[in-house]
Amino acid sequence: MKNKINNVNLSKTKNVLTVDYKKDKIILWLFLSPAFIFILFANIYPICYTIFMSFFKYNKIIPGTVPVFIGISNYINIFKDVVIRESFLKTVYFVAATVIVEFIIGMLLALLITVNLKAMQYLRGFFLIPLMMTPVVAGTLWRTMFDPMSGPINYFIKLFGFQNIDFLGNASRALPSIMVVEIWQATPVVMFILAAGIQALPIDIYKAADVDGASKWQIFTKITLPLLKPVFFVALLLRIMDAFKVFDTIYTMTYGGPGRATELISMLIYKQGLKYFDIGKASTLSVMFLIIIFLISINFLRNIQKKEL
Amino acid sequence: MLNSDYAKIEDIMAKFKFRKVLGKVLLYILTIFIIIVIIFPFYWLVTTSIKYGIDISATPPIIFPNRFTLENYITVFNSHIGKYILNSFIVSISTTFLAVLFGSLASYSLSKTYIGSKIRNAFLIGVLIVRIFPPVVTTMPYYLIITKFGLYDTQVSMIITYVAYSIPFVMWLMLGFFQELPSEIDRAALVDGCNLWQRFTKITLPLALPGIAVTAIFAYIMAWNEFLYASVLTSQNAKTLPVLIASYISDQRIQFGPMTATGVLLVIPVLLFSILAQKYLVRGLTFGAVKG
Amino acid sequence: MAEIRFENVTKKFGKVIAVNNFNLVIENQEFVTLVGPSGCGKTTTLNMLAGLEDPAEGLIYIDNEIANIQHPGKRNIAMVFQSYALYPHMNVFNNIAFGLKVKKVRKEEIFKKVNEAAKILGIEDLLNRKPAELSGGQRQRVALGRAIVRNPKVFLLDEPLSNLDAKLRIQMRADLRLLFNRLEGTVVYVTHDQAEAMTLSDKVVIMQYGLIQQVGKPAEVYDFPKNIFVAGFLGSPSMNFIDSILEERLDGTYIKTQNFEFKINNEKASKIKALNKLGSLIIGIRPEDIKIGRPDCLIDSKIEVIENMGSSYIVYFRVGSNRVVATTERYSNLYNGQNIKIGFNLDKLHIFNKETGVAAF
Repeated sequence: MKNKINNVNLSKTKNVLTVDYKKDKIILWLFLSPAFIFILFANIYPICYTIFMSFFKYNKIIPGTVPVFIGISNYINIFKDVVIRESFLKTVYFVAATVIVEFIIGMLLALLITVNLKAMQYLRGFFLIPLMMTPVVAGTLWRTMFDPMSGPINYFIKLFGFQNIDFLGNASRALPSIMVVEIWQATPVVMFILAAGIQALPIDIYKAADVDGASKWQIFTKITLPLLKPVFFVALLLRIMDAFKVFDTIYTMTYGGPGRATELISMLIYKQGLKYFDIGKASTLSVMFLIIIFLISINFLRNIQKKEL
Repeated sequence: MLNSDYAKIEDIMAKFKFRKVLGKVLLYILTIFIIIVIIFPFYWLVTTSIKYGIDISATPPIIFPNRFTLENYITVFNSHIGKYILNSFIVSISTTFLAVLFGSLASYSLSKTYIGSKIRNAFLIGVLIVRIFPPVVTTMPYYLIITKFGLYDTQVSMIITYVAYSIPFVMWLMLGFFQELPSEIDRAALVDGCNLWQRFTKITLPLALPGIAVTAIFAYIMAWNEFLYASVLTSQNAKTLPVLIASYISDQRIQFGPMTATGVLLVIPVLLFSILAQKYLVRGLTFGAVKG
Repeated sequence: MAEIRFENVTKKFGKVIAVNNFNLVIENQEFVTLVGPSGCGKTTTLNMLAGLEDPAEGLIYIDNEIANIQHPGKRNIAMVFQSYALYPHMNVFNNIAFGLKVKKVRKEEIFKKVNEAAKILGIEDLLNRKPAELSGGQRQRVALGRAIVRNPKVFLLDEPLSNLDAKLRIQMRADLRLLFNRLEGTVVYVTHDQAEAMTLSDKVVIMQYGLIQQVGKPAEVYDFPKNIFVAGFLGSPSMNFIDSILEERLDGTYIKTQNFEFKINNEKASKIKALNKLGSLIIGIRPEDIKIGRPDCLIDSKIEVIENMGSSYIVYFRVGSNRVVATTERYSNLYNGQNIKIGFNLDKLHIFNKETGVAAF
């Protein structure tokens, strides 16, 4: 039932009770405080610590070392470092490639599902499997499957008459193999979100288009896609953010190898900080990473906001 | 009408039918293909866990094993897995309880704009930031701080870490759920004489229960599956299942048998539950993206 | 029961002034309706009375106590919301009983009172159902039940009939009036439907843009609207408006329009002149005050459309560049395209200043 909106501004004050009740305010602050404390100490503080340490040289591997302030030297060194640059590039490549494939397949699946709603009820459970599977398990599982000797994937490849392929041991094939796993795990989410978005579109428009004689392709490109834009972009943002976070699968499948072939930024930071204990360098990398992610998301958010207006 | 007209109509209808049938066939093929892609890996996981060691490393691999064994599971249970299962369970449940509790209360506050829009926006932005940034970034500070407090390898440190990690997500979801509740009902309760606490417990909470259920499910699964922080912050005592699985991979070899067995134990509860709670999960997943 | 006073009440949302210097006295047991188009501020005013919004300025008195700082639950008011706002997770009995439970009334008391209220509204056999299982009309009665069971000083109703279908709405109007007569309550009713305002209220407050346009009994505001907005708002079909000017001639004062003119008496003429701008005027005449085809009719017109309402006709005339709407009995020998003369009942003529919209008399 639609609520009559008496005044344009009231749409913002949906839950407003502008009367000032002091007791209520106290209760609300009380409600807010545990979460506030957690976020402050367990989220904001560590980030600040990281930013702070990025200006220091601190290598804990030698016992008894003390952090030494070196200003932005860490940052300068990073810019010079080829390894790090390549890692960033690989990361961006990884994110871009996986997201693009996920969305293409996801869109197709979403269309398939919204056409066949009954099938959806039964298949929904299946699609949750890759999604809900623990990334570590997925990583180890696919490692098993990619194995050149005893893995089923090579078995099928040989069945079709091709040669044995070493996926994870080969520098140029390792990253794509991990991308396959990531796509396998993430496409269902994209599918669900896009399907929900499509289902939320008003049916009347489609009826009108049918009567107007539009072909299926035209309906898709001129009606579905444009109307889906806000949902699409939100899903895109979420997926990109998640793709940057990927760690578990890389760790279990290749640990950054062979060589540095799959050493994405997250892996690099992990190794610097927790293997080599070079806290200064790891912190600097983290900050750079954060900045990049931040820039990308702000850019996206602005685009989404514009579209909504 | 002429005979030729009838013939034309029949022709068109035949073509139409053909197209329809072809379309349906393609659809079925596609569906089966999808199912294979999704089901096969899972099948491989389960079958590998019940294969003999020799069969596991057989070349070429045995797709359809004809003999089964539970030796992998026995190996796994002999190596204290009970303790690790318990760890995972305790940490996940505690995290879920605390994160949902604190997060829901906080979201409720934010959904009432008495707080003042500046503070509210600050909070929302904070939540967004924390949701976006990668956990790797804070693993070091966490490691340093937790070892400093002597909490290394304890369940407590895991719970604290996970709660901090989950709260932004919980707040994000619950805020949406609270805002969905019609505000007039809250006003009616106000006129009926309820103070804030009464409105929260008697009206808002009962109506938000489905939302809380969804959020709790996600929080639990996230905690159960988490690997990075667990591997960094635990050792023998508080180790959780994901860490255990990764430990089967060493430089020398991979113990596929016990690894897949542990994997099955780790994954089966989650998958079973997901299938049971399908509706809720899909709702939660699509929640942030689709408005309305 | 209580008297309500608004003194200089103003409400702003950001820069927009929703309610502007609202002054009103509502007597004990009066049924007052705030009526106006969307956005006129009527619901905001009601909300301020309920305590759901805070006035930016001004004082609201309920029963001689300043209500501004009182919690809505403590003001001894009851409210029926447009969407009814029933608690979906409780059955009808609990919905009605909720307010009493909050006040910790004894179980037996609650039982008695809820059953009484249910009986008055005819919903005794619905007590165990949940809101989702009820029809719109039934839900509305539950909402009313929730309101009356608490024996409040004031009843506030926010467009309670808007969500019902047309027939039910008309039926409920009478029921509502009977109900509140019986309860002897002070009622503040908000609606955008002028028919509801006219039929239900002792007093009507017409609002636009946050300002009170006119206050008075239904008959008063209908027959003597103070400005063009009120005149056009009340009555369906609405009043006809035609541009005109005042002309002083040797034999008296005339009102002249594009297609016709007539003489007016001196008393009215002087009142019109008192309106300052003599140049532009607007004539207002209600559809029921138009005479069709009588011997004394002098205005040429052509019938464009005849709407057969069943019990009466609504006839659309074209007079020059103006469209004039009239209502008349059935079986008049009228047909589309007919050229016919019409006339106005000059006693019921209204004159407005074109710039300010103010009525001359």
